[in-house]
Amino acid sequence: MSAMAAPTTLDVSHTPSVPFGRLVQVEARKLADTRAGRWLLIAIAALTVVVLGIQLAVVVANDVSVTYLDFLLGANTPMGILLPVLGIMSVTSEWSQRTAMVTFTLEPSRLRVIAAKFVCVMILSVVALVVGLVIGAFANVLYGAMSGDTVVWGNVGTIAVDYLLVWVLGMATGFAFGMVFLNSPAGIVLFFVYSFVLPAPFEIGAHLLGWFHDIRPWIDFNNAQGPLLDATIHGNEWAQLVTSGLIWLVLPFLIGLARIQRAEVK
Amino acid sequence: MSTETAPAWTLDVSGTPGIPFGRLFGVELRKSVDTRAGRWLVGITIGAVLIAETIFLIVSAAKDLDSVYGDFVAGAAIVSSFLLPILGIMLVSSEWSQRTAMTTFSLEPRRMRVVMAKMLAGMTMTLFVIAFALGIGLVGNLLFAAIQGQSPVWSFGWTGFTGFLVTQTFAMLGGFALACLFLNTPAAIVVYVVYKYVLPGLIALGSLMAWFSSLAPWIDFQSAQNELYDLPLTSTQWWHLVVSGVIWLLAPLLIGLWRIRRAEVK
Repeated sequence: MSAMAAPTTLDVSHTPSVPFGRLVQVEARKLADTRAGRWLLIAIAALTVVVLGIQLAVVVANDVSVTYLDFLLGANTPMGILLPVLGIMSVTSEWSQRTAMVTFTLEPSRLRVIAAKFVCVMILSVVALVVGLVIGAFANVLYGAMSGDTVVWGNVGTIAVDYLLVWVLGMATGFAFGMVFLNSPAGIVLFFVYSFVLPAPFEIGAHLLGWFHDIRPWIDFNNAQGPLLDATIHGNEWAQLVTSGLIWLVLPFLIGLARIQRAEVK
Repeated sequence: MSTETAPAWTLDVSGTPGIPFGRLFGVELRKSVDTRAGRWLVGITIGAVLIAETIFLIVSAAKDLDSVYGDFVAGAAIVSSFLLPILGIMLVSSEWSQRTAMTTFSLEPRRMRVVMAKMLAGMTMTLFVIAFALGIGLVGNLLFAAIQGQSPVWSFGWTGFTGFLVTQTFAMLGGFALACLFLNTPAAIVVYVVYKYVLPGLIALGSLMAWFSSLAPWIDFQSAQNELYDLPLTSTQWWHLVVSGVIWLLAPLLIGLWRIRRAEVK
């Protein structure tokens, strides 16, 4: 038996904790500098360009008159589907790639890590907005040049704010689903069930049942975002966005936060 | 240095039979339901079908609709058709994401036999889901008749049923092919959803152009399949199905199989 080593102490009283800015920086890098994240970002940008290219070719060939808003609606087709997936994977990849162990060892305060991730996701929605606005503007200018029609811009300020909200809400909902399930396939599948399968029974129910028709606008989050996409949201529609958002965004978000704090890191 | 030489070992496996295909099939079938992801997926499918049927039953009874057996089966089918391709995807990609491929391909190094067993297991699950839809539709129809106090109406479109059988199998196989192509669960699921929900919109948009409109039936697998609900098809419709099927089902499947043969098992 060797002699007992002298007790050593590690004085960490002067070691500052990891600053929040650094956490945000690390999480931002994880979003773009991993194989899944990078390909998803490339796919979103490429698909948006492809969709707008097709839209441009079609409207010019058929002499359809369109406005700036129509091009943003086109851009929302790929973005509305893929941005939430990015939100989901920003949380779940910690579990599927088993990086959670390292992440939460270096920063044991899990809520700070989650807050940093959420800040990154929100920054990304702003980036998505800028990209969407620029590609849309480019398509709109090209449309004017190719068709000879007057280019209609509409109220760009309102459009920008409404589409920012659409993408912020989409990514936040994905983020919440990711936290609830902590598993990429489960989060993605259930998010798609929510956004593609659920509208059908909602539609049928509202069509057939009078009482359901009345409450549906207040509980159907997908439906409540419709006026945002048309950039016409006003009055009651804001309240409906809030109440349905409480059910589909805030509630899963809170459940997810509670789960993250207690989930086994493996 | 020891001077002993190891005895010459020979392992006589000439009399050992290969693994029978039936056993591979049984194992793959078990993997599709006896894993956490598989069990939840099947559980969610069954649960969602039950909820959809209950809602449909309540609505039918409340509104005095003339619902028949075929309607109840269709209600169950809408839900299951979304989740079957996911099952097809996970059958393949989970070998990589759960790292079981190493064991699987060590025990049966002929990878194509494993893939064929998986494909057969997927088809069996498809048949099971269809049988479940028929069964649950039967219960729904009987309950509806009992609530209404009338004798049940069993009319059911059998040509529609053939179409249903084929499209569900194609849907499962489509997911299966994408999974072989990507060997990654989230990527395959996202691409499948883009194919199912984004592509039809783009094709419809593109069809506003005359040249694309005449090309579209040849490349649009989903609308070519929809014709199967109105059998018999004309020879042109059959060719639409074959050509678009080669593009969206056979090509990804063959590239995917080629990839599985050479993919690193890790």
